[in-house]
Parts: sequence; C-alpha cells; structure tokens
Amino acid sequence: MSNDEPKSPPRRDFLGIAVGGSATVFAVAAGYPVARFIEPRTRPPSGPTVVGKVLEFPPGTVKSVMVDERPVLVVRAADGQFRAFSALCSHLQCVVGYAPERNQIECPCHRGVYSMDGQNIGGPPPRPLEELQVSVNEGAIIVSSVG
Amino acid sequence: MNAEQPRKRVREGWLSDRLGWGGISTALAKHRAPRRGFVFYLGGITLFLLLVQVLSGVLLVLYYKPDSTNAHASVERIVGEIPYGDLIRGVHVWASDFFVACLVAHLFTIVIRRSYKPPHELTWLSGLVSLVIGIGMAFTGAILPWSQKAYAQARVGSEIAHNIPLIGGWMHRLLRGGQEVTSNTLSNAYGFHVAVLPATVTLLVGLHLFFLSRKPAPVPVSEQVVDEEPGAQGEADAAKAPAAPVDDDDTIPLYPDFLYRQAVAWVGVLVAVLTLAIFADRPLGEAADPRLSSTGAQPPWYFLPFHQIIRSSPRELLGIDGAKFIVGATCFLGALVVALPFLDRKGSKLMAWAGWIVLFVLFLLATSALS
Amino acid sequence: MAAVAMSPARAVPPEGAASTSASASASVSASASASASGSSSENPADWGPQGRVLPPSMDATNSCVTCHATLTDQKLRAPAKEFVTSVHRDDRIGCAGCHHGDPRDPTVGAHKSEGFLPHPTHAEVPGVCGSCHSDAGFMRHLNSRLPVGQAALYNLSLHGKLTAAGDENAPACADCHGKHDILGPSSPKSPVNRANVSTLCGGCHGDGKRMAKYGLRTDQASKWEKSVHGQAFKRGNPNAPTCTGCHGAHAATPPEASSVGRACGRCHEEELAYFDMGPHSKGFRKRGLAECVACHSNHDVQPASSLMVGTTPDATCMKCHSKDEKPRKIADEIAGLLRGARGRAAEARAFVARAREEGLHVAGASFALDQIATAELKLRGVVHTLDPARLEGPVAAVDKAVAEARKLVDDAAQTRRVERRGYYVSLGIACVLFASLALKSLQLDRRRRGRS
Repeated sequence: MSNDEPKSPPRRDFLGIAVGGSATVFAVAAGYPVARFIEPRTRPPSGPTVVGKVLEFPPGTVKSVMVDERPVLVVRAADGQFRAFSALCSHLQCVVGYAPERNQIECPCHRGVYSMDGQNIGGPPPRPLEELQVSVNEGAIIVSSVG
Repeated sequence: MNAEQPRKRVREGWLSDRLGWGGISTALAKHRAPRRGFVFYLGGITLFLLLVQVLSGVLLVLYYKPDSTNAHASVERIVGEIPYGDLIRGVHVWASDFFVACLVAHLFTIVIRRSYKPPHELTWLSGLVSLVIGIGMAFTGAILPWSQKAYAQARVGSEIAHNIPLIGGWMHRLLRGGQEVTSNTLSNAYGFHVAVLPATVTLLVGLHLFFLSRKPAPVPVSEQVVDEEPGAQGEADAAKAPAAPVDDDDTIPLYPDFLYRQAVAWVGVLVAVLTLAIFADRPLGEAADPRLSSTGAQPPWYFLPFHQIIRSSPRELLGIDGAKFIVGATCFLGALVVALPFLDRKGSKLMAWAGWIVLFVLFLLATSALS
Repeated sequence: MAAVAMSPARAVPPEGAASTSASASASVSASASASASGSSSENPADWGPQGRVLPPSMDATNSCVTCHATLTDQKLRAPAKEFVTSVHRDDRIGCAGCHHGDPRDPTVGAHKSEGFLPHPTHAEVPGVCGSCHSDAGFMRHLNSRLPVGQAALYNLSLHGKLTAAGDENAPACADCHGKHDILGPSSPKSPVNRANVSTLCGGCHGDGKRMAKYGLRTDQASKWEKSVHGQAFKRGNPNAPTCTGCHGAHAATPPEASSVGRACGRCHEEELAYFDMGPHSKGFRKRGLAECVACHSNHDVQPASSLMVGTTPDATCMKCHSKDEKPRKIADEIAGLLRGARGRAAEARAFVARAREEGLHVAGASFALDQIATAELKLRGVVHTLDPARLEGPVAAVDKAVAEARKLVDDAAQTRRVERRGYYVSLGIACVLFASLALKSLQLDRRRRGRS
C-alpha cells in the first residue's frame, strides 16, 4: 500500500495540480454570485412621509412615528410649531424618548439628555439629534427623510 | 503504521498532520467499493444534491418571506432584483428535481439488484424513510412560492393525504397547518421545508451511511458467478464484501479511487444543474388567487403516475370511495415495499423483474398523464 | 285591535297648535332621550320651518296609506304603494310631509285640514320640496349629511326660471328625482344617480320636439358618450364628468363663454393656469370666444393630441391662424417640440417593454416609466401657454426621464452580458475540473491494475 510511485511524477503532478487548481478557481467563481447574493440591498429612502394629521397633534405633544423605517420624534411646541428629530441617540443609536415630567428628551441607555429642540444638554451624546424637515400640507404633517 | 508516519508527514503537510489524515485515509482505503456500475454512485449523487439543496436553500432563506401576502413577491424579488437570485433559485429548483430523480433511481436499482436483502434491512429502512422525507421536502418546497400552481398543489396534496388509512386526518391537518389552506399552510410548509425535514433527513442519511459502513453493499462479482450460483449468491456476497482487503478486479478502495470517481459524478451533476439553472428558466407563475379556477394545475412530475391513476379512477371501487381506495392501495403497496427485506429474504430474481415492470408502468402512467 | 289603537289618537283634538306641538315635542323628547348627547334644542320651533309641525308617525295611525291602499282608482291607490320604497318613508315625513292633511283622521275628514295639498302644480313643486330641503335646521335633524339650498340654486337655473314662468316642459324637482317612490341619489335605481344622469338629461335634451321651442340642439348626450369624458365614464373612472359635472345639477345653466374655463378648470386646473399665461386668454375674452371650447369643443371633447398643434390642415391652430405668419411659426415650433418629446418617450417605453419581454429585469424601470409619464403630463399642461420658451424645461424633463430609463435598461443589459460571460467561464472551469478528476481517477485505476 505504499503511495510512493517513482513512475512518471510530472504527469501525476500535473493532474493533481489541474484538479486542485480548477477546484479552487471554481470555488472562487461559485463564491462570487453567493457573495453578491447575500450582500444586503440598500433601499433608497422613500421620500417625504405623511406621519399624521395636525388634529392628532395638539400643541405640546410629542409623538414617535416611523419615517423610512426609522423612529422619529415629532414635536409640536406650545406655540404650534412642528419639529421632527431622528429618535436615534447621537451617542450609540439607542432610541430616545420624551420624558414629560422633565420636558426633555432622554436616552435611557447611557443617560443622554437632549433639550426639546434636540440639543445635547447632558450625558455622553456628542451631537444634537438629527433634525428632519417638517411641512404641513392640507392638514397632513409631512416629514422629509434625511440621508 | 509507525514506519509509515515520518514519510507521510513530510508529504501530506501541515493540515493533514493536524487532522491525522493519514489514519483516516488508511481506514477509508480498507473499505472496498465496487469497481463497475454507475448505480453505485446514485446514493452519493443524491447526497451531493442534498448538500446543494441545503446550501442554495440557506441562501434563499435570506430573502424569502413565508406568509401568503409576501411569499410570491419575495420570490419575484429574488428572481428579478437580487443579483444572481435567478441563478440560485434555478439551482435550488433544478437540483430538487435531480434529487427526487436520483432518490427514485436509487430505490429502483436497489430493488432490481435485490440489495435490500438481509443483513441490509436497516440500511433499506433508513433509506426508505429518507425517500419519504425527500419527497416531503420537494412537496413543501413547491408550496413556498405561493403561486396558483403551488396553491392548487397544497390543496389537492393535503386532500389526497386525507385518504391515507389511520393517519389521514392527522396528515391532512399537518399538511394544511389547520383545517383549511391558508397563510398558515404556507408558514407550516416553510417550517417543515427549512427546518424539520432537513434536520430529520440529515440524521437519517447519517444513519443510512453508518448502516452501510457496517454492512457494505454487496459487491457484484463477475456476471458469470451470479448466473452460475443464483441460490448461494446472497451468502457469498455477505461473506465476501467486508473481507476483501486485497486488490481484485471487482473492487476498488473507497479512498481514493471510489471517492475520486464519485467526485467526477458530482461535478458532472453540478455542471448539468448549473447549465439548466442558467439556460432553462423555471417560470414562477402568477401569484396564488384562490378565487381563480385551478386551470392547468399539474402535480410535479414525480406525482404524475399517481395523478393519472386518481384522474382515471371511478367514483367507487369495491364499494369504497375511489380516491380512498387508490390511496389505501398505494399505502398497502408501500407497506409491502417497506417489508421487502423481511418478505424476500433470499433476494429472489423475480423482484428484479418486478422492479423493471413497476418502473415501466410508472413511466407509462406518467407519459399518459402528460398527453 | 286597530280600533283600540286608534282611539287615543282620536281623543286628541285634530286641530289646534297646542295639541300638535305637544305631540311633536313628545316625539322630540323621545328622540332626544334616545340619543346620548341630546339635541341642541328641545323646542320644535327652533328646528322646523316656522309654523310647520311634524306629521305623526307612519304606523297604523297613518290613515293616508291604510285608506289609499284600498282604493280602486289606480291613480289614487298607486302613491300609497309606491311610497313604501321612498326615501321619505320616515315617520317624521310621511305623506303629510308634502301633502299636509291630518293622517290621524281615518275618514275623508283628513283632507279637510288646513293647507291640504292633494295635487301640487308643476310650479308649486319646488316650493313643496324646498320647504324642508331649504331648511338647514330641519334637515340637520333628518340627515345631517344632506346638502340644503337646492331650491335656491334651482330658482336661479334656467329650469327654475322657466318653471316659475309656468313652462311645464321645464323640469321641476320631481321630474328628475321622482315622486312618491323617490330614492336617494346614491341608489343605483335613482334617475339622478351618477350612472343614470346622462340618460335623464338626454331624455329631454335629446328629444327634438321638446327642444324645438327653445332652439336647442339635441346631440349633447350622444356626443358626450363618444367624448373622452364619456369613454372614461364608461370605463368606470369615478372622476369622469357626466352632464352635471360641468353644468351643475340644480343650478343647471349653459356655461357662458367667460365661465367655460372655470368649468373645465375645476378638474383641468393646471391647463387652465397655463392657458391664462398664454396669448389666447386675453384674445379670446376680447372676441367673446369660449376658452377651452374654442379648441377642444365641448360635449364631444376628444383626447388631446400633439396633432392638434401645428400647420397641417387638420391642426386646430389652422382653424383661425392659417394665414398668420407669426402664429404659424410658433405652431410649427411647438409641434416640433411636442412630437419630438412624445416620440422619444414612446421609444423609451417600447425599449423598456422589449427588454422586459427578453426577460431582462430592469430594477426601477416602472419608476422611470412613471417619471416619463409625469414629465409628459407636465408638458401637456405647459403647451397651453403656447410659448415655446416655456416648453423647453418640460421637454428637457421628458428627455432626462427618457435617458434615465434607457440608462437603466442599458445597465441591466450590460450586467446580464457580464453575468453570462461569467457563467460561461465558470461552466468551463467546472468542465476542466470534471475532466481532470476523470483523468485522475482513470490514472489511479490504471496504476492499481498495473500493480495487481
């Protein structure tokens, strides 16, 4: 059962290399479509989104809505002005929430604090909350998608 | 062994050293496999196709959505939008057909060669259950695109299963995921297709291979021997197969010779599957709309013979509902097949004839179903 | 049993404001207590027409129906039967709601009460209907969703003026809406249902004998049927206008030249706005030409096409400007721009369709086609300015969308070519693997045989 064959080593090597080489190249060739297939698709943002009606937002309300599958805080100030902020903390992307008892926006994960105009006023957040454009058209509140 | 090791280490390299490959290959080389006959590669090809199915299926799971509103659209998205999605779905669909074909061919070659006879009962049984699960995977897989055809298949298939004696009602609910064909049927089929059945079949194939390694397939000796000693063949094979460590004209070592040949078959099948997946489109069909009549709904090809019998059966047979009778009879035949190694302990040559005849009848039925 | 039930009703004096208002307030308080919020006013005088009292309910005490249903004279009997399906089959309206009389009196004495109106004349009908339907306070209690003021509008309409002048040819309320078996307009059987309006109007306006006196044409309904509006209506487009869409219903008047644009502009807002920017707006007004109608016609308005603009003999521009140098030049220029953009858009559509037929999946193709359609729509609006300079922007937008669609298809085709090439190469490699494996196993076998 000895495997050492002194006879015609070049041919044996050639076939061995051919098998190994073509198998490797084929594996790479087959791997490419697989890699492309599993690469996640990025969808373009769906554009401005209607998030509700003005009547649903009496002055002084804060509501969480979804825009482009991301959470957004819509704030209607006491003076009736609308503002919208991405509800993702600028620190590590936890979802922030409105704390009515302190009238501020807070991130529960690492105690980030934002003022009602989105400024980072406490805790680790390095930047203000990302602000989104709000427009009101025929009673519908429309939030633009940024980025 | 000890004398060989230093030389091998030098030749085989770092990885073989870590894996102790030399030991494995020596052990594998002790197993003998038949030198001649394509039929001995069918089981290996089936196993390979199962692997292809698992790999392509794992990829499809990334984008498939198992609910009745999104299923069809998600498959459309795979085919149309995702890069190479059409290729991967094509491979999965074509390989499934090849898989069932190889399973059936494997079964018939075993019957015709009477390789089921003792002491191969366990191999036979584990193989048969794998066959049923394999067809179950094909059946549940065909439901997943939730096309018109898939919907009809889910409905008719489960209704036919209703006629199975004893467990019919249970099968009916199991296949439908409830009383009716609904979105639940789809998610149920999905669960079975991607988890329950593959896991079970993996276990069974493992057992199948284990049983086979304990009692290897009877190696065909030269044809003359078979003809000369038909009666003694069984014992002769059983005695001969495990103890044949020397090179002879009828057997080759499992490794490397048999595995190399097996690899040739695998690559050949892979080329065929890829070529078909690339160049032969398997249309997805319209999304299921239960309000529309199931026009042109036809079962997958492996159910065609059965379809033809059901289609041409009278309303009643021997006072029993036609469908019930046929399904019952089929189950009875199935039970006979399961019991084959216990009924035909010697491997009667009649079974070879029976195998060919059944194959021929099935073929006739399938072709007449198509016409 | 009927006599017993009737006797308390008879015990109440049939006339006298005090007693009737008492019964009315009884029914009001009943309905008020039924509704949780309660009505804003408990005083019937606040929500009914002055002096009007509600008739009692339509049950066994309504002697109108019980008596008229047994009469042998069909003319007197039919209303009692027809009323069963009427939208006025409400116990607060009943027969007496229009005809007055006292339904609690089971004898002909019922006819004797004050204000009994057995046969309202044609000219009286609008007043009868209007007595309730113009009363917002009353209508609010019956059906708060119904509009009021139809009678006022009707009186302004040509139909109303002719009726008031005693012309029985002109339709009053009942001629369109029906009489005793009147149905709500949302009922598909109602003659004023959207589906039946053109038949209703055409019934009179298509009748030559009837129209002869007024010198009116009779082809409006049949023309409308063939028009772009009629065809859209036939396809079930809920926005397609029927007669009333342009002419109004109760205030039906022929739109004057100066108001045509407003009628069309209710839907074709953008076109009207652009038209007002263009030179025709002033010119038409000066000459008393009807804005939209001058080019598009009215009842048989056809789908607008780029062929309308230009200097070909069929072109609409040539109806007036066949000999004018400058307008001809502008018409040619606009026609060139329009047809060019249109042709390129059509080509792009065909290009995408062909690619799809070839099984090429073009991601975003539907969106690109929508973009083209949007740009074309804009272009069709801006054409009404008749200003080639203003058209350039929209034409460029069409071209941009077209280029976008073509690029998507080209990219997809290129991707497919690359993919195909990759497939061939990969299959080739697999074949090499196959061959080398086969050779290798043959070699193994040969060697082993050589040894044994």
